[in-house]
Amino acid sequence: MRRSGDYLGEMPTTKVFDREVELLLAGTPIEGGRLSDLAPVVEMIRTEWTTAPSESEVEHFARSAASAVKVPQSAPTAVTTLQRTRLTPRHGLTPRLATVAMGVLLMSGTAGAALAADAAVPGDALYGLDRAFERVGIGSGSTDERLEEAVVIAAQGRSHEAVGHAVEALSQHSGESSAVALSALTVASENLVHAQDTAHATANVRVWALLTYIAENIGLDRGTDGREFGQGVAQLARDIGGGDDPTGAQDPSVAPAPGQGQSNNPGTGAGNDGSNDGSEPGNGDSNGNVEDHGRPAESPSVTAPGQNNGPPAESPSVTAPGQNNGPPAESPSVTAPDRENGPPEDSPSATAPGKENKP
Amino acid sequence: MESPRSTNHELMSSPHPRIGNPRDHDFETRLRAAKNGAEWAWAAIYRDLAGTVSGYLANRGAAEPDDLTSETFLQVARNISTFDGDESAFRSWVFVIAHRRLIDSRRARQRRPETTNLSVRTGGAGGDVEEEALDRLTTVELQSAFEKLSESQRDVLALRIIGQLTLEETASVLGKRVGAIKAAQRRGLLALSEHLDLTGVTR
Repeated sequence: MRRSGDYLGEMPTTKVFDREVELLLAGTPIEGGRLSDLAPVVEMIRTEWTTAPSESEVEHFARSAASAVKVPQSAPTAVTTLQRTRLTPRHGLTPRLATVAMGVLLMSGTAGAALAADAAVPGDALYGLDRAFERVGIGSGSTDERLEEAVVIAAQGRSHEAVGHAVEALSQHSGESSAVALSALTVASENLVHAQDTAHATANVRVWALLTYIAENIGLDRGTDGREFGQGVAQLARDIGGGDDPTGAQDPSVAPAPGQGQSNNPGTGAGNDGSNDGSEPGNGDSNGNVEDHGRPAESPSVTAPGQNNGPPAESPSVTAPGQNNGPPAESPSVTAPDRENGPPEDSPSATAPGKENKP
Repeated sequence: MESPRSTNHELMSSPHPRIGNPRDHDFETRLRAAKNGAEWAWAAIYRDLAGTVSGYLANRGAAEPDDLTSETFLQVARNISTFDGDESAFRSWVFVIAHRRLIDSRRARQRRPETTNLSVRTGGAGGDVEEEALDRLTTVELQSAFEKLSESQRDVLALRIIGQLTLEETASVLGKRVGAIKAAQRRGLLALSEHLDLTGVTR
């Protein structure tokens, strides 16, 4: 005939009671304990309301989700176009981060989105809110996240800020790769100052490339991977100064790929043809003609030889060789090859090419 | 491997091991793949969480729990690039979105008090053992007892029992301190026990 008040009265400590509650909720109540009568009730609540989704439901969702990831809804088209132009020229640089950056960019433009704050970068009105979320443990402000923010800032053309943000993030991160990346960023920062007047846009793109590379590969501290990381960041940092560009892929306007240089130049290549007749594919003159984003025919698709079937002006083909067949509005094609991260046996579709064919 | 470009290609073609807690590795891999739009990853996420999310929404008075569940998970997909954290943080994040969706949907149909809308799933799994233990308690009784709890007690108990979140995860979803969650579940369970006359009062 006890009432609940009696429990409170005879409770030795709240702490003990809380422990019994935890055991009850975990499905292992103390036999004959004060809360054991509630065990079937808890179980009933759980089973009454929880239903496992059917496999067809799972499949259906997986398909919509996979395409939703690539196409943030309510993306402002003006931003899309502008960013595409600017994001275009890097080929071979980490698609995953490009996806992240693009997604964050698009979303930070939609203040109405419920979680837009989580996508905020420093300088945005929502950044404070973002930090607030982090304090309660949502979207922890890890080094990785800070680095990804730096990538976003760089994509907005705020290179100095971006480098500063990355330095701040890396200085809180231990490991050899952080030290290596920090020294590369120092070089980058110096080069950025020199590049300011002559090759501003190119430098911005290269800062973006460097930060993307760092964000994607940070943590590769040892062995072959570590050495490659060191070489990679050093090279990308040097490139920011507008020096030699061994890849020839950094600036598409001056480094046409085989078979495409000739067709791009006539009629549009004013001021550029002299230094680059298209006969030296891949041998970039990276100091030239950095401000020609507005020339549609020069669309950077040249960095994906033979793979870009879309209209050049509309399909950036940033990093996805052989994947850029979809309509541009639906596939920024900054996604792709990284899919093999998944366990192969579980993920037949994860490695399959031609992903854009899906709804 | 001399140039960063070729280095990068090499890295992309082989999933490079990252140093970290091996237990987190599976989730990290899944999250990474999900951010890249890999269907297998989204299927796994949905399989793991959709049942509890929709159960939570149904219990907390969603008029159309299935629709709200779809909306929740689509929002998760759209915003996945902004998420960074471990599996526990991810669960919390998903439930934060579900919780907000729920509140939005309540506002949208304000004229209807949500307490009248507690929808119970039919055909709950209930095994033999539970059946025996529960046959003296009907779903209707359980519903009405649950509805008598305070709003915050119901939030907490639904997240703990149906959402199967930990104390800390529940606290982060509701934006409260762990101590407040403990107090709410203490009082909620005792009140539930009282409303169901489990304390020995004749039914």
